[in-house]
Parts: sequence; structure tokens; C-alpha cells
Amino acid sequence: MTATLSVEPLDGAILSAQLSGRLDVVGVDAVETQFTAAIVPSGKSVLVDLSEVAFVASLGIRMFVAVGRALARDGRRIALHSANGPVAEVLEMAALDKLMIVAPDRDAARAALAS
Amino acid sequence: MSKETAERFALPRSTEGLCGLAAQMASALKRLEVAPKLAFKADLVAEEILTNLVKFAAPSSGPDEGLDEGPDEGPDKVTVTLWREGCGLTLVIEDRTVPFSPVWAPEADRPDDITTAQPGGLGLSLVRQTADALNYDSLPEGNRLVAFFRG
Repeated sequence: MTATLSVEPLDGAILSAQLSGRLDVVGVDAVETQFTAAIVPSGKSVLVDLSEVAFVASLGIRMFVAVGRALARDGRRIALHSANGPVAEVLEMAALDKLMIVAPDRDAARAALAS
Repeated sequence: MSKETAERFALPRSTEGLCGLAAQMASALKRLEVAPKLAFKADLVAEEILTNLVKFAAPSSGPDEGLDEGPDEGPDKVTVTLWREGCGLTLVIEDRTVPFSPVWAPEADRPDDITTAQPGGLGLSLVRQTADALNYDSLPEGNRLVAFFRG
């Protein structure tokens, strides 16, 4: 099982991205270019739904940090949400919530982006 | 279930090996009937260690002895062994690269500002936080990392 990505506009200023599968070496290699290209040049912030992500390793975290840093250069943000139990634990171990929005669900992530 | 019923496999220390790791781990963990939460932890530690070995480690020039060498275990292979211990799980990763202890290596800086954060450097931290116990042995020809996960 590798990773897949779909991205669609949510409203004028926000994209909605859905990742699924494993964000390991193979999975990140499969989606990183597409993930970056769909989000960074868009001029929009992004909600990233992780509910279908079964596994995340440090390379997946690295991908989120790289995109989050690129967005922050012009005041945009990335908000991760809906990670399942073990994936949420990895995000917590990485202290990712110190660097970006990590929310339990889509509504909370959207509210945090609007704040 | 014990060490006598261990699952063991070898992978090349290469991108090809990394690509095969998830499937090999899944098969071994399934045969050992490891609970999903424990399997996730072992999977994560194996992924991070093998990633580091492929990306950063240099081959050892030490004597080619000490590891139990099976038919699939050449000088630049990584050997993974798993066995259940009661409700817990032991994961052993052996390689033939220059000595490096994931247990004692310095921790990477943990940024708190996205604008200055450098991607990367997180793998060993995840390994240390995920395993309930870690032990490292420097072998004459490589390294052995033993990780234990409580059930």
C-alpha cells in the first residue's frame, strides 16, 4: 500500500487535501512532489485530512514541515486534522502542534485556520 | 511464543530494501499475530532505522564475521528479527555499517517556529520515544539494535 493524494478548493482562500495510505519512504516519494506543487504555488492555506493515513514516519512529518514552512513565508498555514490513533501519536511525539495546526477534526482545523 | 519461533528476514541496504520493508514487516508481524498497535510501533522503528542506514551509514570495513549469515545475508544486508515475548515484542536490527548507536546519538534540535524549522532529523527521536527499551551493541563488523515493545 502506497500513498495517494487528492486536492480540491474548499473556498476562496483554502484548499482541502486528502492523503491516504502509508506515509513511509515509498508513500512520501509517491505524493511529495504532487502535494507540494498543488499547495505551495496556490496562494491558499490548506486543510489536510489524515483520516485515511494508516502510517506516518519521519519523512512524512518532514513533508508537512517543508510545505508548512513554504506557506508561512507569505502568511499562509497548513492544518492537519482527523489523524487516527497511532498516526496522531506520531504527530504528538514529533511535537508538530508547535509548528502548525493539528486538530482532531475538520471543523476544528477550519476554525483554527480562521483564527 | 518465543525467540525459538522468531521471524527473520534480510534486506539489501538500499532504496530497494526500503521499498520492500513494509511488506516484509507486515508478513512477519501477521505470522507472529502481533496486535495492531504494537505492530505499528515495530514498523515505525524498523522504518526509521533502515531509512537512516540507507541514507547516512557507510559500510563497515571490519571482519566479515559475527552475524549469523544465511543465504540472503550478504555484507551489505540488513537483518531484521522479530519475536514475541509474552504480550510484548522484540525487534532486532543488525547491519554491517560503521559503528553508530541510535541510543546515544545526540538529539536533533526541536524547533518551535515553522519559519525557521529545518525538515528532518526526527527519525531517531521517534525511535527513542516509540520503543519501551532500546539496547545497542557494536559488533566487530557492524551494529545490533534491540528494541522492546510492551504489549
